[in-house]
Amino acid sequence: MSRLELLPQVLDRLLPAVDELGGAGELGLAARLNDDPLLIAAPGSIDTVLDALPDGYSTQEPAAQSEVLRQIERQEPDAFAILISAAYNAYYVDPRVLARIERRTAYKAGAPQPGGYGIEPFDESILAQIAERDPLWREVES
Amino acid sequence: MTEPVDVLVIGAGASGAAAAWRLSEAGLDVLCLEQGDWVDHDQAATTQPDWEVRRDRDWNPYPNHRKLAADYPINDSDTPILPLMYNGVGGSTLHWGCCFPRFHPSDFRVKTLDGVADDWPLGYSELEPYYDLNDRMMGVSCVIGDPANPPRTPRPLPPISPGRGATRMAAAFDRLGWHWWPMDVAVNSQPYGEGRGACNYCGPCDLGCPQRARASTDVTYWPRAIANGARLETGARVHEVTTDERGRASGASWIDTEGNAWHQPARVVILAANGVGTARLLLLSVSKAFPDGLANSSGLVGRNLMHHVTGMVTGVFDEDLEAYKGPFAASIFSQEFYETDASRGAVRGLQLMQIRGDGPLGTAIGRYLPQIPWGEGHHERLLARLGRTATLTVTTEDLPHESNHVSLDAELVDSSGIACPALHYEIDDNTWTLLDFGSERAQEVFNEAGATEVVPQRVVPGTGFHLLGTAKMGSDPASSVVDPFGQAHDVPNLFVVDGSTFVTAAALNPTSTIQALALRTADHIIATRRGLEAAS
Repeated sequence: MSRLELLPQVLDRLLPAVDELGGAGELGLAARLNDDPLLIAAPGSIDTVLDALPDGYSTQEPAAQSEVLRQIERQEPDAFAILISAAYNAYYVDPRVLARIERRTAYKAGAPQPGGYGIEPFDESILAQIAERDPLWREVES
Repeated sequence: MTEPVDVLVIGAGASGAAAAWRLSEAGLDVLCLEQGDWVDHDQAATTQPDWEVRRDRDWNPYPNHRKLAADYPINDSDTPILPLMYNGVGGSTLHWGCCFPRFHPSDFRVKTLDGVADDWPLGYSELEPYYDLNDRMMGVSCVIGDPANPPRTPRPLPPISPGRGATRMAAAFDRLGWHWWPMDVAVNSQPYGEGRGACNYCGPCDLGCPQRARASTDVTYWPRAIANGARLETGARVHEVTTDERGRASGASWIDTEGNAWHQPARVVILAANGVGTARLLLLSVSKAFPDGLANSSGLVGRNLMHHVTGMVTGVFDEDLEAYKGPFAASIFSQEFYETDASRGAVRGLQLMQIRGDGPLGTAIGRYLPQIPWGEGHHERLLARLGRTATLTVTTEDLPHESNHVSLDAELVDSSGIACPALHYEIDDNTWTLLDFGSERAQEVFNEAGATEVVPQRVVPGTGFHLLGTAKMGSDPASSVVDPFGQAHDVPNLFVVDGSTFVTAAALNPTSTIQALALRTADHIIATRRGLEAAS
């Protein structure tokens, strides 16, 4: 099986389907990994991981595939760590992924600016106890 | 550009901007050479949907990783702390968290009080008017009345809201009977300054602020300095401060982005290139009269490199704290353990400072907590952390040691072929003791606050954001590089205004002190016209 076919299957195990969202491979994120500076700086990382996959990996059950990947993670920690970082980088800027997070939390998908966030104003009454404290800085002669 | 200027400032960051403005107010002819460029805040990373990835790319604070054209590489193979900085108009204020505490009076008297390092040749009261002036120029949001610090005059702006997480942590500090207070921050809580709006709590100040609420010096000092007539040449990489036959600074040689070589004559030269860049320039400026580098008769140029070695403790809570809302470093701090207590087994002290949480990528990658594991369960773990964390940094006072130093690397050069700096640094036992003590206290607060998970990091490598001590200030030319006004002992018309001059580092963020010192040096130059007659 070619790298083009294998990498999405690996990504699906790293960042699996959730709710209505497919896994990272199903979302088509494998192609984006090529642009990640981490992988540009260490171009063999993906191949190191993919080359370590056993024959028949693609026909294994998901749990078995995950176990295979954990073994490779132990054997090739540097290459695997780069793959993980690149996969997270691609996944967590995808609008579909961020939209799901927005639906589940108060987090707003998209750029922080120019919208920003509303926030509770500062309630100075919380200073009541500490403001009563005696000075604790050291006086020194000039 | 071959006519001599009154004052040539090298570096357009926190200190260079402050000095340039003050000198230009007095009518002096000021030119600043800056190797970086202006940053367009309207195109800041915070305006882009991939903003979190940008933090690891062109907006990374670590120049060896960022590798922009204006950056120079640094050999940091002999230090556990990664040097962080930015080369551009605004310097590292383009990346900063805007924390704006002041030194304590005791920070200037370390030798007298604790028998270590040296006292500063000036005290808090001498610097106080410049702290006040700087606060007005930068715009500082705060609450008056902090019992851990000397009384202060009212500052321009009411406090930034600390947010839910800090409110919960503040209650825990109260229950423990420990000091806490809203951090003084150079972020506009309301519109303040020309063209500067209010913070809208977007979060990642380090990735740029199109509101101009974050007080980077390109939006605070520089517009006013330029209105006064100061000039700013970007893309200008200075590689030597030149001297004349009398041993006085005569200007600076620099290379533009096309590789063309220039020389700018000046009556006074001010170095403002940070604790690494300034030491590098002085060491590069070798001549027959200064064979060991400029202003280096003491042998201390580059020596006594100090950081703020930082530990970190992060707590996870079972409620949504909206931790991604608000300026990431503008929250609350504690100076309960700031002053020396011999029972800790260390001298000097530490500051605990709360920082807010990350977005989804930062949470998954694990900037403050271990990375969230891949595979089944990943998504639920992310939701259990996103917005539900708070972090306390443990900032310790780093004592000066001559063995911790900046040198010129024998092989590494920048894109202009100029020798690059190499850092040599070890964390001392005193700092380790303070880190461990502070980490234990931080964990105690999180437990008191009801965190469900508390994760300490003993030291965080990527915290070399404060670069201090490499051109030490003092009254004795044999044991310091510059005098109490930042004037080089060996070169009367050469001044240093960045953090290089720090005698000791205190245990807090240094920028307000750096800028206050820069303003004071500028006033000294104006008052004495020191050096201005040199080349005329």
